[in-house]
Amino acid sequence: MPDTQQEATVLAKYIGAKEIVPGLLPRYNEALGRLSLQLDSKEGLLMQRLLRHPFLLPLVDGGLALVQPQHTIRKRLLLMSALMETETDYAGLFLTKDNIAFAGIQFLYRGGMAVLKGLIGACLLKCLRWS
Amino acid sequence: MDYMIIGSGCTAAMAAETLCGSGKQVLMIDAGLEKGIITRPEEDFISKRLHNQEQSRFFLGDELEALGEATHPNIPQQTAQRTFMSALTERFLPIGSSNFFPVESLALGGLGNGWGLGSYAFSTAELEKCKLPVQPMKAAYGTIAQRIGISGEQEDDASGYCHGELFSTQPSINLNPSAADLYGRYRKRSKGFIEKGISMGRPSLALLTEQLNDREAYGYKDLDFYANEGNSAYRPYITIKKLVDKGVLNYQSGWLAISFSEKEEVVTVECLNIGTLEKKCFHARKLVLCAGTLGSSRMVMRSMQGREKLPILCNAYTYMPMAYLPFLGRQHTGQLCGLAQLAMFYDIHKDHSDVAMASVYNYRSLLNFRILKQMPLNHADGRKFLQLLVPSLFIAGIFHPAGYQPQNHIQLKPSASPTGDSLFTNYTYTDQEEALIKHTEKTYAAAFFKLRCLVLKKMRTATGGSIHYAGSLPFSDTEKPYHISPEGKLYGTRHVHVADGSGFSYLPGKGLTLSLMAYAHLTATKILADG
Repeated sequence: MPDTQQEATVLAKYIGAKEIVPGLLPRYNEALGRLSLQLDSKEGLLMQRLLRHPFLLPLVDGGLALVQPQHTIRKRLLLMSALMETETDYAGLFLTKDNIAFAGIQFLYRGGMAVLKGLIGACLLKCLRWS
Repeated sequence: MDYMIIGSGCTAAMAAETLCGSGKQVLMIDAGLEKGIITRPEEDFISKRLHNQEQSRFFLGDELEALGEATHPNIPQQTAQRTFMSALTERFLPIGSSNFFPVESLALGGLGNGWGLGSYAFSTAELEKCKLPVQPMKAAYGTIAQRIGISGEQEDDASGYCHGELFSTQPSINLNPSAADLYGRYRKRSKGFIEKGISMGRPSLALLTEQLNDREAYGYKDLDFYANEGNSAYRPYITIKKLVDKGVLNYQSGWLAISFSEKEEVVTVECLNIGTLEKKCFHARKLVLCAGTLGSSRMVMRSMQGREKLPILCNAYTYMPMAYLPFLGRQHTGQLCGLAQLAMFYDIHKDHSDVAMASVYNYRSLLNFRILKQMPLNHADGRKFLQLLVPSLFIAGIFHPAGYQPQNHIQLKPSASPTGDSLFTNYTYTDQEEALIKHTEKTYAAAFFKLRCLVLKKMRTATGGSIHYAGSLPFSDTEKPYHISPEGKLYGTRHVHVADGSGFSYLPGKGLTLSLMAYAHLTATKILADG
């Protein structure tokens, strides 16, 4: 299923993967079937847009988190995140392996940026009627 | 058979141990679902994460159970290893309610498989409000502590609320670094907190820090929600398997007890096979109901028709995730433990009568994706945000005390379920209760803020989420239907006893399990004394 492979690659890289390890894509594909995370036609269209323009992913993902947290694209992203988190090659992306400098400032900055992206994404979804 | 016990949870295990010790014949009837009890993980959490190629199956489950949609509002974060605990309950223990969502179990060991291990003795005032016999209960706490092994502090600000010197403890588990820091901060300011009725200390846990018989000391692998290393955590299956191996307990699994009847000196229990739906009767001289408040009440309502509704008690429960600011972005180091690190008690009247307790946990081994699912952030930034947040993250779980309210009840109604009925329930809070719960939440939030914890959210679970239920068959000194005598006998019967929380007439805002076990032991002792 080439479409799902492309989707898995884009989502994994969006979450933080630099390289795609063998096995991740088939596991994602199998898990989609097992969890019945099929996209309806509107969701499918939105996914295609995101695959064509991956820079929109943080905005749309953040927007959906605010206005439609149970959206299937969010569920697919969560699935990819969980699969990556339980993969030795990506575990470091999720663990705090070193003390992080200026953590308080980073905490506010990261949180603030994420909320800002979410607000922009929510406006985008509403204005373009994508959700 | 001399005695027949229904259920296999914490109360059933303690009643069985007491009854089996008499040399009499004891039969235990249980649905007994058994799966996924891993007693010895090979590696610790970090090693597994960094090196184990099969970790996805371990953490997410063969069928990706950890990622499935929660079908029950009060079981949102179950690990794959614990899904067996609530399996088949929707089919065999159906609930009809729009405002009460209890959690029940058909597993060997019942809800004891997921018990957080908090072991707290009720105070004299709490025992009196529950209508439990004060001195016998205090003695029974000691017996249970010896059996199951409890670690904790003998003397700190919280010990009076944990065990009141009623039993001795093994040394406490080592604190996680952030919890140790938080506790140090509290100790510097303890006087001010105590003046406001707030005390913090180490929790009493049914977790071994020293070997006890063939059970091993806790090994700090931080996989507490997935496995039970060396059986260091007490679970009822440990007692039941030990009694079965000794040949003193006849354990019959696969049977859901439906109802009972008495004829002359024999009690007959009708059971339903959960695999084949075949019906079968078991017989004994005396029956001991340990099916949990809701399970025992179902049996009583089916067997003694006449009362439509029974009362019910349930603690309200609040989750409070919070960031401990000094530990933002700090690396996790050293040995960690996923169980309760600290216990905080808010004693509003400063007399141990209406205490609301908070257990404080770190968050790590349940993995970040569970938090990501609930955060209103995009996944890429959310992942980086959690790298900063998780080392500082504490979850406080607050139990609020509960008393009887006339609107709260349970009721059996006919349905198409295999048992032919469903339990209909109603549970709401009065304005006064709601105000007290909010006051307690605010008090805790302010206390944690003084300790430099930033409360991120206050989340009240759906009613029933505390998994503490009691009071459906209240204790009574005088004979009344649907009540229990002080000796634990069900009025209107000759040989039916109730050894779970059905009789408790009040639910303190504390861990309940130790008191349930002590009461089960006490009831079994009285049954033996009765012949």
